[in-house]
Amino acid sequence: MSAEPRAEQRPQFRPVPKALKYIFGLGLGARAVLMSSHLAGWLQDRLELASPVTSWTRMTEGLSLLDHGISPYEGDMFHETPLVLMLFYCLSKIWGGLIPIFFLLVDLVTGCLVHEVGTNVCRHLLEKQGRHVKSYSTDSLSLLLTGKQLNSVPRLMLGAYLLNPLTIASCAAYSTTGLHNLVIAGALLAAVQGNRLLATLATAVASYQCVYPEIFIIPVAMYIAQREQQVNPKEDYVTSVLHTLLSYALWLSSLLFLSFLCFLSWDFFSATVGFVMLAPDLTPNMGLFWYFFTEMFEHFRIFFLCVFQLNAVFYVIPLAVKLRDHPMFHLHLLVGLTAVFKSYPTFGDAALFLSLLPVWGHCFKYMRNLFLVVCMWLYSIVLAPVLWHLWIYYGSANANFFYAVTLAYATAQIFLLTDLLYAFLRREFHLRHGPAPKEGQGMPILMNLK
Amino acid sequence: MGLLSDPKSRERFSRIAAKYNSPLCVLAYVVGVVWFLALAYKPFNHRTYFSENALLPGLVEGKFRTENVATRISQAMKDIKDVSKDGPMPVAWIVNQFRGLGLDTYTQEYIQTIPVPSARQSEEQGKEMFVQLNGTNVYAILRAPRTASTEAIVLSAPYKHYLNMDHNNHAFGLMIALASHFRKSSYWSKDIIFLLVDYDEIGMEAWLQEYHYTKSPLLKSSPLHGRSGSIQAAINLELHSDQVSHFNVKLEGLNGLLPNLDLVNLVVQLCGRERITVKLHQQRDTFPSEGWPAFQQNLKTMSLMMLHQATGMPNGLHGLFLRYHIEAVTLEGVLEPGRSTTGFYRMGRVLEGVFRSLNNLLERFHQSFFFYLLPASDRYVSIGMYMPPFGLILLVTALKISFWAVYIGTPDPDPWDGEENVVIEHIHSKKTGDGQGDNTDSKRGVTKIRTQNYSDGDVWSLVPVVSCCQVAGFIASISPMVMTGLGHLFGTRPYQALITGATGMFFASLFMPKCITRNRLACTVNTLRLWKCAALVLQAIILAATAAANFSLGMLLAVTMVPVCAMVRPGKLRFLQAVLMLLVSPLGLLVIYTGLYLLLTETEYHGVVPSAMHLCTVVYYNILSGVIHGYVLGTWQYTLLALAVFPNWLFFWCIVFKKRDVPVVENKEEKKTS
Repeated sequence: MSAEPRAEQRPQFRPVPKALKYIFGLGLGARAVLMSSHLAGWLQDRLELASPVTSWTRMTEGLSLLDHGISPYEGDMFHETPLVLMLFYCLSKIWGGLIPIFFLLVDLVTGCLVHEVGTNVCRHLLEKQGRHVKSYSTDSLSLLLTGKQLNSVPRLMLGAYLLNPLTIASCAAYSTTGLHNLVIAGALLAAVQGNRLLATLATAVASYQCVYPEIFIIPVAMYIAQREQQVNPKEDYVTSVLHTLLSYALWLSSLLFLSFLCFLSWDFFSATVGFVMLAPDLTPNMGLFWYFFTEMFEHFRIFFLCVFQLNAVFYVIPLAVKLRDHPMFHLHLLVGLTAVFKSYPTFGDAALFLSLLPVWGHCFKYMRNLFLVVCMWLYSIVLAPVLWHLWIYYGSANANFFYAVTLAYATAQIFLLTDLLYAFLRREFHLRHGPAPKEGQGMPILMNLK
Repeated sequence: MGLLSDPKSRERFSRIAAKYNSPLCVLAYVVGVVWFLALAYKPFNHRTYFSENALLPGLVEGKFRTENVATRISQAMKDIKDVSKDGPMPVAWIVNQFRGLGLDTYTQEYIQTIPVPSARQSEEQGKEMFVQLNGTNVYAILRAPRTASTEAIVLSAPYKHYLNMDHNNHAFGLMIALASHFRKSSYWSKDIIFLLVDYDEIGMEAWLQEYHYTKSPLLKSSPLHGRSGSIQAAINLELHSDQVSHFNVKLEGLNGLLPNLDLVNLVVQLCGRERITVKLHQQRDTFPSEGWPAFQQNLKTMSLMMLHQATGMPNGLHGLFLRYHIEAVTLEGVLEPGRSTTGFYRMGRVLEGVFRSLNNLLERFHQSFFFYLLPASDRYVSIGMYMPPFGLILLVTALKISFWAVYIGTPDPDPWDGEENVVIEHIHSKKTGDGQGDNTDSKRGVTKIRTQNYSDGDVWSLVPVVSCCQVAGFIASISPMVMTGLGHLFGTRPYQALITGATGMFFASLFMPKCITRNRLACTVNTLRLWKCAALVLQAIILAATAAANFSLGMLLAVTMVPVCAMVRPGKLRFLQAVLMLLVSPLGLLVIYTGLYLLLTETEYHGVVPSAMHLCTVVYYNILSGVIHGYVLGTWQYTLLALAVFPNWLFFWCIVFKKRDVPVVENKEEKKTS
């Protein structure tokens, strides 16, 4: 899927660059080694890597229930979508050894998709810069993007995805987070290519699979509408958005109907979407839900559930207003936002967002907390298993220790997101006003985010 | 948030942090260390108290009267041992003793494979690669009359101490006496398991693994035929004679785990009630409890506890229970000549009191503290009290990190000035000097200079350095076993091979700076600043994580490594820095802390050379037991040192020698010639 559009755009044959070969080899090698080592079993039960939705243990449970002719959605064990279940069922029926290969392939393809996302977004940004360059300040030439990025950024993204220890561990744990990342990356790629049918289909698949990407449709619709306006300025913005939404709704409902056909019952809906939305499983994870909801009085539960879920999706509206001219950036921010605020996050979710960051590397100059974020991230990743072990196995620490780490992890991600937003806006400002704008008295301006 | 979003206050903060960095660091370190030491002083710590009210210690009247049974049984066991001349455990006789009391008695057999043979075994069996220990545990269950075996308490004793070949027959005698007393009572609401284990920790591990259905590849054991409920607490008993002068209470368990402080209090309290002296690490509580001598004594007790805890090795069989979330302590009865002694009668009454209190428990130990240090048996320092000084010591690292983070982005040549600029010039002048030098090299020279102008560290240069260090650490972590295997092929003694493996990588990697600092990695001041910053970040992470899991280890590492690593810089005073770095290397620290331990415990001084020899021997055995316990019992201290602390240390070591391949002299000559 990823190779074909590339071939069309560049008819002449180009060998795969050496760096890519190394990244592929190293990434796949590390995954294969880790999968075959004795650590794999341990990783499968790591709550940081496998949530109740994506856990492989639950998937095997679902498969064996299916084998015995029982619908896996009748109990409270299985929360993956029916189509994925069917996919794994077919794989396990053909040959059990296909499953690790499948997981390797999923990560490989995700890597390729991320690479393509990088190429396409870079091209899109350059195009956009070309259109707007007249309105930029003459001093801010140094801030402009150059064609050089087109080469390095996608590779960096590929490396950031395939060589990230988090995705490697997540893949070795057979966590279906890899699959979720695949569909989200697919949605990003389809969106940036701007084909309405394809983009809405990919977004629908992503939202079918992971629920939260449903909010992606807003920036996607805006992006498509803007593209259409560029081609044909007479095109109506609102009509285009409505077309996109309609097409999305059709795709999504057909996917749901397809799932209905699998078991001829709607049980799966409450077990998948309902599970993610109502968050009944309060086993500790890296998210923010479990601690609050274990502490909470039962009659406040619905209220706070609404608050928490709204928190996860609400930012799409203010961002849509603020970033109305930059839907691509908006879309990428949403990937990060859902990775923090979703009800059952894992490290794998955050890893996808991390691998998208190099595209916005030109904004890093204006980021102020990057170092702090990196430190917090490292701390939480190292301390989470340690404190979990002390709490669960040794019984000497308690829930608060572990929760503190998840809080630090979430805070790091939120810092990263706000900082990236700030850096992006600030760069836009500097593009228009020059790299060192002066106040009335000739003093250098101080930027502030309040 | 002001600090994070407001550039003005941020700038102010970073200016202060940069300007007063060194004084602040010194202040934080000194205050941290002094504060921590002061915690051993009475006014700064707290008196222990019972948090779990259900224990109700000492409310019942002790009825233990069967001390004559204890005397008889221990004498009988001694006779058997004398006859059989240190043969295997007399299983049948022990089983008979328990059966005679009408208890459900079972045995468990196990085979433990030890990946490295012990010295004694290897002499006997030549070059046998793996040694197998066959042992038998005997246990008896006193069923509680009031409940359905859902909960249990364990009274365990090792059959003999293999370390000093001391027999533990007195403990067995007391165990039987207690069993015969306990079975007459009707108030037990928890089963009591009497357990006699063979081969110290290995037997205990075998029994616990089987009891909890966990498996380990090196340990095969027969299933347990009799079971009780979930074990709530355990007391392990070691008696060196039938008359003891004091009980030495041992707390430190596997990987630095400690039993709940309530259990420790309980034991201490009940011993006090029977007027038996309690000591921690053979250190007596002082009286009067304030003043300089008392502080010294308390500090000594606390240091000994920390040194023990840091090793991660259990100092009694109780240590293995802790891994299974069972609170346990070891009571070691010691006879010190010239002190008033206590017989079985009062020891029995103490244990009776402990068991009846444990019997009162309504739920698992969960109150009180799991993280604490004890400067005296009735004083404690909790996690809330010792973490702030530790935080202050880590603050030194944090301050240095912020200092370097501020300077990474600046072309300011101030920290590590002068010489570094020469490096840049050198690379540059070399290119101009030999113009026909290969193309890639000259390109590199140019980029380096451009990087300097752009004044940003080269983040990618971290990748090779950090990965080299990590690879070295990984090799160090697996090399003991690999070397033992190789040594087996070449006929080396397994112990020597193991030690070579454990320390060889360390010595080999001392030459790593030579390898990585060829022109390939010549870098600017800013890159070096970045390296230092990254090394400090890693160090802070490692120390924080270590302290969370095993506070003493984290603290002992921090207190020595932090100041030295904070001062490390490339270039100047390289010899002095190298000496300091070697002192705080994992091996150096092991020597230092072993020396400290010997200094605190050994009473006699035999002169410099014998003491040094003795120190070396102890260090040697510490490394051995660290590695072997890692395989047999699952302690992670050696792995931690090899996989985390050592690579980090190596990183700093590389920073010290970073400039070696670009001598300034050569540069001057070149300038002259050109």
